[in-house]
Amino acid sequence: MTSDLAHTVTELFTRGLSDGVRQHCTSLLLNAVAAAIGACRDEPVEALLTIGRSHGGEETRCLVPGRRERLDPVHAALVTGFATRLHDFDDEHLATMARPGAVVLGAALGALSDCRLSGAQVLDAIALGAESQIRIASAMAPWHGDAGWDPAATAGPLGAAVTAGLLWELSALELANAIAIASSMTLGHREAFGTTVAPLHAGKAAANGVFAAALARRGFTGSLASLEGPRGFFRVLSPSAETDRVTADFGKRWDVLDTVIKIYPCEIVSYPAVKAGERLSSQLAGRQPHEARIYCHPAVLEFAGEMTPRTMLAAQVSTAHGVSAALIDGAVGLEQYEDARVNAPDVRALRGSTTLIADEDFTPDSAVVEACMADGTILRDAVTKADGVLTSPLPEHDLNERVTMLVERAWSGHGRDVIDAVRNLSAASSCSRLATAISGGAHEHS
Amino acid sequence: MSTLEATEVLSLSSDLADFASGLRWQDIPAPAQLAARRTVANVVGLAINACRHEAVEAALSALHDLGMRGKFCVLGRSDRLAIASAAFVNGVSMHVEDFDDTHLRTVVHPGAPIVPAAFAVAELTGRDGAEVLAAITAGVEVACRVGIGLGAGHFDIGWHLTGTMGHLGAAAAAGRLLRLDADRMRDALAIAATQASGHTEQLGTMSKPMHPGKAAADGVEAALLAAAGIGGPQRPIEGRRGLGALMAPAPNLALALDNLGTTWEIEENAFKPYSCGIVSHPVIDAAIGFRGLIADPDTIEAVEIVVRPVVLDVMGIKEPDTGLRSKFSVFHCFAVGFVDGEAGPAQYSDARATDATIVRLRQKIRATTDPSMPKDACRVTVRTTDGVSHHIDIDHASGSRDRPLTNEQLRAKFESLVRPVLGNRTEDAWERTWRLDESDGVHAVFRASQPLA
Repeated sequence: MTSDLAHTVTELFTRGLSDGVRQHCTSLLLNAVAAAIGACRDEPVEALLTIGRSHGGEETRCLVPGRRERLDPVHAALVTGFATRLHDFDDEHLATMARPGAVVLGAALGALSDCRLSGAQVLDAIALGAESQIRIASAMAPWHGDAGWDPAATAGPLGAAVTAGLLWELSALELANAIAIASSMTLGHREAFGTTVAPLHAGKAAANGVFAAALARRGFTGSLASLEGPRGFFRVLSPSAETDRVTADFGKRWDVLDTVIKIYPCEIVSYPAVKAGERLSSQLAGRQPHEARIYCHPAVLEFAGEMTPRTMLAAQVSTAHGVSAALIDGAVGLEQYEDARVNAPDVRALRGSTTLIADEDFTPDSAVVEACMADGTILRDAVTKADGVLTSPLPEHDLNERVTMLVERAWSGHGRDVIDAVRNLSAASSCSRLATAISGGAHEHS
Repeated sequence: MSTLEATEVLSLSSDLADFASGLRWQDIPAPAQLAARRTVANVVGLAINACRHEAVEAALSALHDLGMRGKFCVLGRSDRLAIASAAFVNGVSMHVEDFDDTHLRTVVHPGAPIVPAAFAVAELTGRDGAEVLAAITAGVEVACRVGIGLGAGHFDIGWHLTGTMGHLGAAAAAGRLLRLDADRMRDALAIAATQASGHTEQLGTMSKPMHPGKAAADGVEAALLAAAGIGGPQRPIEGRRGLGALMAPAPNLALALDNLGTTWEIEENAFKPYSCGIVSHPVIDAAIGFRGLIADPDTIEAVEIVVRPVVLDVMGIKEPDTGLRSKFSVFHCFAVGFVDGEAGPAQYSDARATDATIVRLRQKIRATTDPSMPKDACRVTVRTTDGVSHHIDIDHASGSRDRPLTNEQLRAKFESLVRPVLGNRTEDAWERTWRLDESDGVHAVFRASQPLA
């Protein structure tokens, strides 16, 4: 199967992908780049950059979005994947919980400095890396994620190896070895969610894929039965995996098209409740509820049940926080997850009197929020499947606005350039414009 | 589970971090200190021996492609790499010949992931030899103890403990040499725990020795990240979605803390005298024993070997035609043991596998099985052309728990591994390595291992 997967992606890469797939992946890439730039001056990103510069390789050719510094390929992938995922504002494949954007962007930037391919080919390598990891994750879904693994980081390194391997033009056999090697570089315990190690999962997945591809390029080997073998990847990570899903209809059916760009910067299971909180807020007319109740699908408690967050990363896994902030602030964005807002007295007070009530009758895309007012009235809003809160694609205009906001946050005056360079990538003869637009490049900026 | 045990398990990661961050060389009893020095000497010899192995060359080429030049040493080579890359290569070279140390209860090979991580961070921080050895001891205790807590199921489902537990041990050793406090040490363990990886489908490929290399590299990085303030979960090992819950079907993590700091798992670390699967080791002991009884292999008429059935299951290749296949031939093992008097990497080369004298002797050997034969025992009878029968029974193979390699045997192993690379500098390399505890750092070991300019 490892060889089949490598052959399939190599062949599709040679043929080129359809406009529809390229267009969707362009949006994912644009959002991922913007998310990375938006986080590029956050403290933990600075810490990782410092480690990359002081402890990484001495030859530094690879860029990191939004920064002028250059790093070695492995650290560039690490920092980029980490930054993209840090604000929980990247993308997600709902059925598998894969987070392909952060991982493949990291892998691509690790591999890009040695790559002479056209913009369309770069996009195809990104798309195939994303598709591969979603398929591997979907063979394991839903058991794998429910059990406590982070599929972004278990399947991620293999997808990253595909992206890096294609950008380095590995043969099908070398690519099979890269995937096999990456299958022994998995990570991702969900215990780490709510801490800085969660975004590190995406960074390491990207870095490991780049490293695996580099090893394979020099003849390093792995078992070609790594995925399906009796002591291999699927056996250790998800014994009931439907392994056929990895290659079935690859090239005809595209799971990557089901990847959505995140509309709130938090764990996606919170979305219906946060949406209900936002809508309810307009009925409050500035009054603060003294209590809130959230009725939701049981997965909310498992994935976002944190009740007393003190940091952005903990708040990301706190539906109670998202709803409290929505009720008070009216709209939920990055600001509502900053440490300052997470610890603000008004938000803390309401969050402290918020209850999560799991109910099997709710689907993952529905929730009810009740706001109990001091005068005893109870205001109520229900988000249902019809609201499409999990599945509606972000319209192009909204995405551009969001990208501009993210880029300007850390790197003012560059939003337009970033949008143009990514949107034109599929027609570009190389990725040099992209590289210039998303990093310090010719623009002097410290 | 009693309440007390439950409480202990709830703070397992913190307890291990506390132990590892506070461990000092003078607090470690002499037998454990000796075990630490033996662990280091064994893998340093292996790394020097394998420094030109094709897996090592491939790894180095890849790291050079990635621009990973730096200041950190690779045993046996003049290459200088970035800190985690140096740890990676040393981890690969220590494990690639399957000749390293084994913590028999868990099947962790602790030396290959932990020693390179400690050496790399020791170069960074300039810690003295005793502190390096204390850090390695801390790492081995953490790796083996969590391995015990996970139970046999962790290996049975396919995880390679040298990769998975190696991550924890490497992070503990690296964190100890960065002198992380207990909280930062727990963060280092958390960063490493979520990265615990490596499956045994890789046996027979370069990815198997990649596992300890990656563990060493990730362990170093985890400690550096923790030192830089990257914080992780409080209960990475024992938590509901942590390592124990996800990676073993029936863990009993309380076992990991049994007599922590009073009994020392590092003392259970065993050293292979021969570079092949452990089940044929008693047969090689017997073969070497016959050298004192019979001078010329051509005077041997027939050899009768009685072994446990498992030996023929895994080592039953009668006429191996390559070095790699000869590692899975108890017949070859006996023949080289008798003719060469040793069974190191040189005895499992393509040339040795097809050597005429070895092939002739191999063909005279008949093996039968006896299910009642104990684990590390065998019976061998050799009939010579003068009609005399000689018998040797081995009750416990050398290198086994009941008959550990002596320090002299360990030194002989080191010298036989290192002499082809370093020639007359071999003794110096041994002295520097063996006396690490008295030295002011690891630089002397690296320098002694490297080619002369």
